[in-house]
Order: sequence, then C-alpha cells, then structure tokens
Amino acid sequence: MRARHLLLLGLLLSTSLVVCAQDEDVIAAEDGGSGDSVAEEPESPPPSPPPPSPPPPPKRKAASVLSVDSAEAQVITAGGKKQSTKSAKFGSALLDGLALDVGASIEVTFTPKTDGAASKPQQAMLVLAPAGAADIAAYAVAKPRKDGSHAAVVSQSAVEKQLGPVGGKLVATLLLGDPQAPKGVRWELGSILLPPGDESAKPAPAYRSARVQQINNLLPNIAHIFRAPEKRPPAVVSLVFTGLALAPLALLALWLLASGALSLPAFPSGPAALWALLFHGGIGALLVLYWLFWTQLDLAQTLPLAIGIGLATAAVGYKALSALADARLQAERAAATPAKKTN
Amino acid sequence: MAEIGAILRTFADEYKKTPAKVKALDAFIVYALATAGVQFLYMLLVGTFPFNSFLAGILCSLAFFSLTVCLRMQIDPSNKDFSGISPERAFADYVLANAVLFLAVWNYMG
Repeated sequence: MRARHLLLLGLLLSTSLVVCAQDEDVIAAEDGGSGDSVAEEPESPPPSPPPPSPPPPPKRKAASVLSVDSAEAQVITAGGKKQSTKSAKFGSALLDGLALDVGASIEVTFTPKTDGAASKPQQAMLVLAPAGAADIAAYAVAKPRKDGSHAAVVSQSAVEKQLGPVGGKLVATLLLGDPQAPKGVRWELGSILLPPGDESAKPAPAYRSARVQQINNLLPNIAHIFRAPEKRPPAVVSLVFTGLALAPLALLALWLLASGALSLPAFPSGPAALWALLFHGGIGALLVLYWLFWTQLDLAQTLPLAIGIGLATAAVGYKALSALADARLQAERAAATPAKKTN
Repeated sequence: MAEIGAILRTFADEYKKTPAKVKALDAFIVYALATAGVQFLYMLLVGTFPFNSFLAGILCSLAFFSLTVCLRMQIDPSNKDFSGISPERAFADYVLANAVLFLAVWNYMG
C-alpha cells in the first residue's frame, strides 16, 4: 500500500515537471489517461532521460532589404494651411520646384519598408545641403507615426538655425539606414528654393554639421598659452643691488675688526673655551642647516635636525654663558673688593 | 647751525663712554637698518617681484633690528629696567629668537 502511494506521488511529480516543460505530447498522454491507468502502470520502469542532443547550428539570419516605394510632400503655409500636396515614386525628384518661404514648412511623408513590410529603421532623415557648398548640411529627422509612415518637416527657420542665413537652392536627400539591412536607402528628392538670406543682418551659424569634421576624427592640436613672465630688471641692476645689500655687512665686519670687538684675546680661555667653541659651532651648524633647507631639504627633513642641533647648542650655550657669567661676577667682585679696602 | 654742530659734538663725546659691547650692538642695528633701506630702495626703483622674497628680506632686516634693539636695552648697564636679567641670559634669548626668525624667513623666502 505504501509502495503504491509512493509510486503515485512520483508519477504526479514527474507529470508536473512535464507540464512545466510544456511538452504537448506528454500533456496529451496525461489527458488521455485516468487515475486507474496511472494506478495500472506502477510496474513500468521510469522513463529514462533522453540523451543530450548536440546544440543546433546557429541560424544565420538573412539580411533584410530596406526600401521605400514612394513619398509625399506637403507644403504648409505660415498660417498652418496645407497649400499643396505632391507625391512621387522612388527615384524621382519629388521636391523639385517647391519653394520654402519664410514661416512655411514642407512635410515629407514616406513609409519605410523592411523586406516589403512597414518598419521603423534606426536612421531616417532628410538632408538639406546648399547647392554650392558641399561641406555643410542641415538635417531633419523623420519621426514615425502610428500608421507606420514617417514624416520629416523642413522649415526655413530650422535650416537657418543649422546653417545660418543661406539662401537659394537646397538639395534634399532622404536617407534611411538600419543595422538589419546591409544597404541603406538614398533618394535624392530634388532641390528646394529658399528665400535669399541677409548675411549681414543675421548672426553666424550656431554650429556646423558633422560633415565638416575631418574624416579621421582627429581634433586639432591645442596650443597652450602660458602667462607672460614678469618683467625682470636687467642683470646689471640686480648685481648692483646685490652689492648694495652686501655692503652694510662688509662695513659691519670692517668696523668690528677695526674696533676690536672681534679680538681673540677676549675669547674665553680654559675649560670655558671648549664650551664657547661648541656654542659657536652649534650656531654655525644651524646656519649651515638653514642654507641646506633653502637649497635642497624640505621642512620635514629640516625641523628634526634643527631641533637636535638647537638642543645641543642650548646645552653647550648654557655651559659657555654660565662660565662667562661666573667670570664676569668674579671680575665684578674683584673690582669691588679693592674699592672697599681703599675706603 | 652752530647749535647743531654742538649737539653732534656732545653726542660724539658722550658716545665714547658707551661700553664696547653696546657699540657693537649699535653697529648691528645700523647694519640691519641699512640692509632694510637698500631693499626699500630696490622696491622703489625696480619693484617687489618676487614678492615673497622681498617681504622675507625686508621683514628679516626689520625683525633683526628689533631683536638687536631689545638685546641692547637689556645689556645696557645704564638701563636699570632689566637689572634682573643678566647679559648672558639676554644673549641666549637673542640667539634663540634669531634662530626661529631665520628659519621662518628662509622658509618664506622660497
């Protein structure tokens, strides 16, 4: 009994898996069977999974053919009235003879087809190039409609916005392109006549079309303009002022030597001389360190050295100056004692 | 004019009584002022470019002048305001102040 229930459960599970796989044959077999038939087949072995079949070769999609059979041009006046309608088959000059007045527009309607059926190609636009200038062009993108057709509207103001105040003939070309179709569609629709533009009264074109971009798409080199250097005085002036700035130092040294303030006999003698020498050496080392800081070291390198030399100089300076102070006090005492005795 | 000459003569006579150490400090003070004057003249005639170096130079001279004047006041025996400070102590302070000043000036000089 338990075995029958287990088999029934297994069959139900396999059936649900088959339903999920949407295998129609299995579903039909299941529909034809009943609960009894399910119960009658417990002895049959479970269906073995089919051997894995090799993956099917990738299907190469046939290239689509993009086409357009005909087009219709409708001139709309500045007031919004539809003035005239003209249609033509592919290849003929649809727009020849049409004039685009100020405020008026021309709507070009066409139905692009892919393999004979209406489609929406990725690129559908109307190109308007002045007859005399091959390097610039205005573009009007065709927008799809609900009925499958596309419409591109060309107005005098739109052309002027892209090309500036151009007048005369504009050669119109319909371009269609799509990644599915190896070949696009190019249909020269003829030329539209624009009113003559007043170039002196109107500003230059805001931007130019991509046609003026070089074919290799390289941007021109940027010439960096540096700020002009500060005006420097002639070298002679700098040298003269360097001498003038050093002259007081030279005069000071001469005066100190002449006045005897730097006389060596005044230098401490005995043990104090060592401290005095070290003290002077420490001050000199600090000045040398500052010179190195100016020429090659940075502040992070200089400060630890300066602190070290400064502490050592402070220690020996304390000794040297203490010795000097002791000598001075002894001399003052010696000078005071004979004076008291004489009194 | 004669009075001015007499004043100058009296000043020279009195200055001879000044101790040699104070005279040496006076020489340093004149040196600092002269160096600052040369840099001021350069500013008037040529300009202040580069400005940071100019400022570092002239302020160094003026700060050195101030510190030396302070030292002179402290070691002058006739000045009783600093009688509690020995000349050696005043000199140690002077050396420390100048060490800090020159480090700042060299850093700013560029």
